[in-house]
Amino acid sequence: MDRRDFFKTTNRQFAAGKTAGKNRNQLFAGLAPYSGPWTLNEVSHLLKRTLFGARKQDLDHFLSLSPDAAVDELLNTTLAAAPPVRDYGLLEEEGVFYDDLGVAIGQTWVNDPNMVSAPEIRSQINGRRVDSLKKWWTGLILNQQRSIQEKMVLFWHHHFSIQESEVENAAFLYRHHNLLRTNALGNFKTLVREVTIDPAMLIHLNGYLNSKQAPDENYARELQELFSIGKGNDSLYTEEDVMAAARVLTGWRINDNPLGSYLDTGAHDTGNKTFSAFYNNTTISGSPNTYEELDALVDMLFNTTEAARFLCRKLYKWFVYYEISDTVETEVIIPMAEALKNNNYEVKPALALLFKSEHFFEPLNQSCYIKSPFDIIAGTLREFNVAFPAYTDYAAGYPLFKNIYSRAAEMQQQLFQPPDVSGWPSYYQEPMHYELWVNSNSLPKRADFTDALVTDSVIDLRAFAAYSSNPANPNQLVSDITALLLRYPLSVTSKTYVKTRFLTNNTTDDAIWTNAWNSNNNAVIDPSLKELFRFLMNLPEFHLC
Amino acid sequence: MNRRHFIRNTVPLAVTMPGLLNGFSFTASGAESPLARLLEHTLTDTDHVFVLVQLAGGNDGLNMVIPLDVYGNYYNARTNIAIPQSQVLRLDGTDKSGLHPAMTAMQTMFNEGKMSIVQSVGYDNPNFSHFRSTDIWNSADTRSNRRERVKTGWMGRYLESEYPGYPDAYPDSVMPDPLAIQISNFPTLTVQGEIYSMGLSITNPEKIYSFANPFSDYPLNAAPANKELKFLRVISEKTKIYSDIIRAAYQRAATMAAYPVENGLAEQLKIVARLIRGGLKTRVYTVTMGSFDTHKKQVNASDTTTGMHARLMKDLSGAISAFQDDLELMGLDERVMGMTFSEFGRRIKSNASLGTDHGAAAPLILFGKNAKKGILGNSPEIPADIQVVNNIPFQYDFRSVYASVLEQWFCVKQPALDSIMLQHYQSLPLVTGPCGVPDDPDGTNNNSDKLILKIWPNPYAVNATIQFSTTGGHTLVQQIDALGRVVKVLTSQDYAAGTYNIDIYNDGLASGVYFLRLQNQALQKVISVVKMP
Repeated sequence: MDRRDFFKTTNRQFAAGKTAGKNRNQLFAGLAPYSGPWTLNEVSHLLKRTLFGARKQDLDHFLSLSPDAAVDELLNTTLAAAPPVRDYGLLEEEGVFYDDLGVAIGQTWVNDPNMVSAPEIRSQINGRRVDSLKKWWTGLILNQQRSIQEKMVLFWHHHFSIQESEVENAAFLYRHHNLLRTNALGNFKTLVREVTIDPAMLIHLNGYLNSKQAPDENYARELQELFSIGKGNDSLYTEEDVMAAARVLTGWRINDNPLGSYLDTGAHDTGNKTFSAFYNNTTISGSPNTYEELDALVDMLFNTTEAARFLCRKLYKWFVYYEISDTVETEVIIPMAEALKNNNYEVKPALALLFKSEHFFEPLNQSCYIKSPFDIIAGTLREFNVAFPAYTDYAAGYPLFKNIYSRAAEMQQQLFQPPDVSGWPSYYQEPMHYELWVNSNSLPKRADFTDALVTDSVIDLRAFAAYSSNPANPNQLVSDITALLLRYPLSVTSKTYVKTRFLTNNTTDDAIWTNAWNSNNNAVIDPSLKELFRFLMNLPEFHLC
Repeated sequence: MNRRHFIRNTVPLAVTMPGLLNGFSFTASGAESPLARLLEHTLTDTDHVFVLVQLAGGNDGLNMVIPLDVYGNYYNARTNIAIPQSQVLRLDGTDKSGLHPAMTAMQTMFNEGKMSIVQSVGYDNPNFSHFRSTDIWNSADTRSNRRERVKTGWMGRYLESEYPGYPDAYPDSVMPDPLAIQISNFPTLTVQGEIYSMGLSITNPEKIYSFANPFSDYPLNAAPANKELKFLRVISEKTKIYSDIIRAAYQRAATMAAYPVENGLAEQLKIVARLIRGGLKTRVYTVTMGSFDTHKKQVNASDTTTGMHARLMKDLSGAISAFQDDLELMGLDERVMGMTFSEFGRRIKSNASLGTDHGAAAPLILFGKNAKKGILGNSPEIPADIQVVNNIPFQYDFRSVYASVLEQWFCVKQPALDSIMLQHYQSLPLVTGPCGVPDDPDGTNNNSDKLILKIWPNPYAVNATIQFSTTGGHTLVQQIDALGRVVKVLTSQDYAAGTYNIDIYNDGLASGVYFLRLQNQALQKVISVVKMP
């Protein structure tokens, strides 16, 4: 029996529910702590899922730690980022030049309501600020620390899925983003509470129009369906619950300056709101006190068992794989959700449980993840150790960062503009999920990008080759660089093919490459490596991690 | 009756039931289920090509097709940007409207019978956001509830119904080429299918992709990874096949006409012509032209026939005319037609910055040898007492235009047509003959002048009587507000030919300017009416 059959057999046994007790953990790697080998394979798996790309120095660093310590470092390293700054000069409108009088170049605009500059230029100023926000965010992704933070920030953006085209206000977008960023590894419940009264979200889902006189259910619906409870089999909230939640949230309004939200008691419905059996027939008493009903609503949502499971399923699809079998639900999602709920919705303990588990490192869960556009772009740039300006460097960094996020947008991942309110379909759309990233339209865009890295010499191929323990030996070189670059392993035959085609001039004479490398023969080395890396990054295997 | 037939048979009912025209009486998910379509699938044998020209930003239709029969009101509404009457380009066979003076190339096309105009195309609940309205035009779904509306494009639904199972089962001998090609970096919603885009977007047709796919083994024994790798290998292989096909087609053909230079639209259409000439069976191409969001300075103050909008009109006219010449020289003009569209027109009244703000209905242009010559519809209603809020009420639903293109150019039959369009829309006489759709003798809508549509008293306060005539069949009377929104459906049902009255009493509408729109088969008529306090 080969391993594939072995796994099939075990899964079938579980589906039938015939095996029980201790045997299960022997056959199915659940959330029991991982205690297997700790080699480049495992470290690379962990880093490529939790960071954008695994750099050689990061792989070496985490190889020197225990699996436990590695995960702890990834989860506990956070950066309190300095805010984005104005990176634009005078702006032209009908032949007249205007200054942004609110902030100076190099200063942050995030607390400036954009009300002092000439009215004709304010919309352009707003647009430039939104651009600078995206540049800054991209800079943070490229310059990420040894931390899961950036992947979690993007996860929460997928989760709450706010759209620039709806919000149309840089300060609101930043405030929302900062909420996600500062709580990225914090508390799920807190995040949902804060986002509910966040000005950007109040605009995005019409909360600011929700009033006692004319209730608007838009946010109340998404709050349950997309943000906290989901539509799993055990999610049994009702239409009446949507209406009742909408009534709880009537009257939340936005204040432009200083930016914030408040409860307009005149528009707030102070009647009692009664919920269904799914919520234990909770009644939320009408109250004119600002936060009382909001807090009662959030408490009610998070008293369910479904809220924690819903988030864990989403995290699982974001970090592990998109199929959640009954076994995974029972052995992984439910215990992970218990950890989440028992820790009062702090996300770190649940993530630690997942990333330290047998299940996460199981071979079945390796190299089955199709890279997102940001994995392809930021991940590849980082793996080749391209030096970026600091995320705060608006003069040298921002223009480059804009190029990066525009590339990602071409590949269908646009910051501040997920396709709709449910985020990127790659993480929820049956049956294709991740596969939706790659099609005859986006694949050429991915190839254009990696081709350009090679042909425009953006990346230092010689330095990457030097990561090999013995780059002069073509067998070792191919073996080492493919192990770094590809999560899906090449067979011996395939490696020989690569070596023969690109390094030994279609012969079996390894000395051709060895001599070239040792004599530093650029005329051979440079074109060979260019063709080799272009080829490797055009392989279907390259898109997996 | 099986489910599929039930769904299909339910569709046309929608149009006979009052009040359902604006809503959707049947579930969209049923109507657009790929399975439902697949089961009835028979490929239409056609070599026709349709080119969609998107004018992004909201084209000022009123300065593109200038109403000469209501020129006074037109001029009054936009004195600072109005095109002088004497400079409007005249069109053969009509004295109602003419073209922007920069559109001489299209004037010639029109007079040679290679272009037609459809007046005041829009929809019942105009949305003034660029993003949303662009999605509406691309999806052909105006529903405001995002949970109900489809995520597919109208051409995507058409192509998926013709080629079910794309891309897995393709290319094959029947369809060896891409189904749709977009000359742009971004795939647009127009050609989006249920899961996949039915289109490829390209910017450089000659680019060679070395999608290496030399390995066929699966050294990893983990099932999920092998599943994903297999998927990637298939896509990679197909992408290579399609990019090779596109490149080969492009290189097989040469441009034959002279295109205007420094004209982005011309560059895109030049590629399209070469790809068609190169033998691609691709049915749909989309190209885009931007900068139509002319809130300010769309004309030069010194001469309103010059300025930004004039340049856009010149580029549009020159590019399409050169494309048409190219197709004729290539011997392809029988096979190709196209259409311009924009997410909305602009406000009737201009603003003080020599521009116009987001509006509603606008004319669109159909081009190609088979476009039915002439102007469909009347000049828009322009109130003498123009207000900032006044929009052009729609005469034709854009989905009627789409449905008619599918029916008369791609020969799509019922019930597939209603399924693709999500409900039934009136058929308009847009294309000359290839699908055997009977020619409507009233095609140019001249007969709509003979339709009766009156209201008295006008202005009215509490009581009024509407009188309308119908040639029989489905007849619709709608009331539209100044913003262009349908606020009341007065009737929507089948009638025997004749003249009918509708009495209204205390209709609950606020005072202001309204329009009544009568739609009977391919005919319609719009009149203005004033409600008094």
